Amino acid sequence: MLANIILDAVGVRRNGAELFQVPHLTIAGGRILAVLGENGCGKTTFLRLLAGLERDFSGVIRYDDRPHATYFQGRNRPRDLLLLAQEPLLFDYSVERNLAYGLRLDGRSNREAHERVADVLGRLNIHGLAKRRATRLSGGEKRRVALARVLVMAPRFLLLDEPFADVDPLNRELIETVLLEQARQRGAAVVFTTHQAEIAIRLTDEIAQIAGGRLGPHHPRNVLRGTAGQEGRQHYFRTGAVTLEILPFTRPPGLVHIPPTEIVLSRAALHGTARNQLRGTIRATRQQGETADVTVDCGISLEARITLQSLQEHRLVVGDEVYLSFKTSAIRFL
Amino acid sequence: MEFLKEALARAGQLIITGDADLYSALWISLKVSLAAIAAATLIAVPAGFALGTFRFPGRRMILTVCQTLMAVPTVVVGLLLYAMFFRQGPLGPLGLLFTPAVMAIGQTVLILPLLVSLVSAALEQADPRLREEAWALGAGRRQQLWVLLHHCRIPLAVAVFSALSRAISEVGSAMMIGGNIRGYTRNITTAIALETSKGEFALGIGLGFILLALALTLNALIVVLRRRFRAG
Repeated sequence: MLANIILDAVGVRRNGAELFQVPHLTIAGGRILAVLGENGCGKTTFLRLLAGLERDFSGVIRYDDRPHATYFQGRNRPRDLLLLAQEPLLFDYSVERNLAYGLRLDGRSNREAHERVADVLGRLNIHGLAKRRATRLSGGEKRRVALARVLVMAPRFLLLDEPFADVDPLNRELIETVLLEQARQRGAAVVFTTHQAEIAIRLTDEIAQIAGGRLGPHHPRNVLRGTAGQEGRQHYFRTGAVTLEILPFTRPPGLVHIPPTEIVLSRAALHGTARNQLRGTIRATRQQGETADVTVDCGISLEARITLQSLQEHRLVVGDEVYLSFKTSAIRFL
Repeated sequence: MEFLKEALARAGQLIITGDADLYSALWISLKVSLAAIAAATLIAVPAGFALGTFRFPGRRMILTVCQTLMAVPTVVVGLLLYAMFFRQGPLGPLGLLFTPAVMAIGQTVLILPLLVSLVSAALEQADPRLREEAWALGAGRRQQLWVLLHHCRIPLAVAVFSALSRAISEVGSAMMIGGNIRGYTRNITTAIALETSKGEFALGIGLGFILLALALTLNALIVVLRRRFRAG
């Protein structure tokens, strides 16, 4: 059976105060879920709660139909749910012994532990570190070893706290590959937190967002599918309906994202430096506090986020014709 | 001055020639204090783990009592144990008074508060994530304790050596409950007290040197360990 965690009407607390509500969430095996949210909104607390490190919550959390309270209890509790902390702590042993620690507790033979450790170290390209003392490694090395220590346990639930924060592109690619492998090939349920929406869009099946006191599904706006190409010195991205000018690329992107905050709305065409300008009709406006999201149909549906003041001053209403302008650098490759 | 020089020369002679009384006192000191430190460590580590890592009612009070008892005069411990172990005392039938065993018990009682305080402080300062990580990887209570002890091994060793220092140099309780029986319960400190009162300075000074050397070695070890710990 594929792993799953189901949350129902859960109130996530920290130091007794409720941080946010999770009305309903299913974390299923074989899938990747990203949790977005501002700093300090409780993403880490949420992962720690799922990992059994925090016990203060209301509502129901079930792991393969076993309630939270009993899942983590007792000598024979499952060792298949692991959290990789943002700043992981390694034991003051050799790298090898760090990795074998959980396997030995799990009753694996020395030989099996050794083989599995060697395999994971190889896959993460750090076999050279095996004999080194873990506490003496550099920050980047430590994070890889910590990831290896989690992977070697072959978890069915893999939770990662900000795995892409402060990571160089090479490591980022490695972590992405690992997460995809874990979910697609091993059928693990993968959950990670991030504040980088682009990684979440590219990598995941589902995105949840913690905002306004609740964790709910997040549907990213302005994600376009198409083909990229080059004509002369100009690079472009073409969807069925529009062609956009984009920055030079090394690998042609198949998916791009235009953050709604990067789009400028105007009644007339602008003669500025923005290389992309589209004409369309306002289909919807949605006010959110001091800002407003304006949905414009210009062959494709794009959303622009403007201030509430701008919306009112320019008297923008549904049906109005407007121009959308944005720079080539506003288009992010996913 | 002449007399001091003479005493020093004779002390050196006693050390070099392997004087039976001197080495018997040294052996008894080591035997008793090592037994005491072993017993105290066995009690102090689990107690310090509980005090240093769990929060429960009465914890503060126990720590305060331990800290107060760190300064208890050795003669008071001697007096209490004498009252317990003398013939009509509650533990009198055990027949332990004036034996090396009761001296070890006395030193255990004496250093236990110090050791518990130092061990709990060492474990309290350890990164709380250590236990969490171990727990997440499947460790039970005992295995978590092992991880913690491993990571705190240097402050723990410092604690043990400090306690050993106090045990080996105490005289009050050893004198009162050991009885200072030659070749049986006469250790370095009680021998020095006796020889000095007899006016036999040479043996006293010789033993004094040995005690100083022991204390110096232990303190040097503590300094080295502290430095290593700071260096990470």
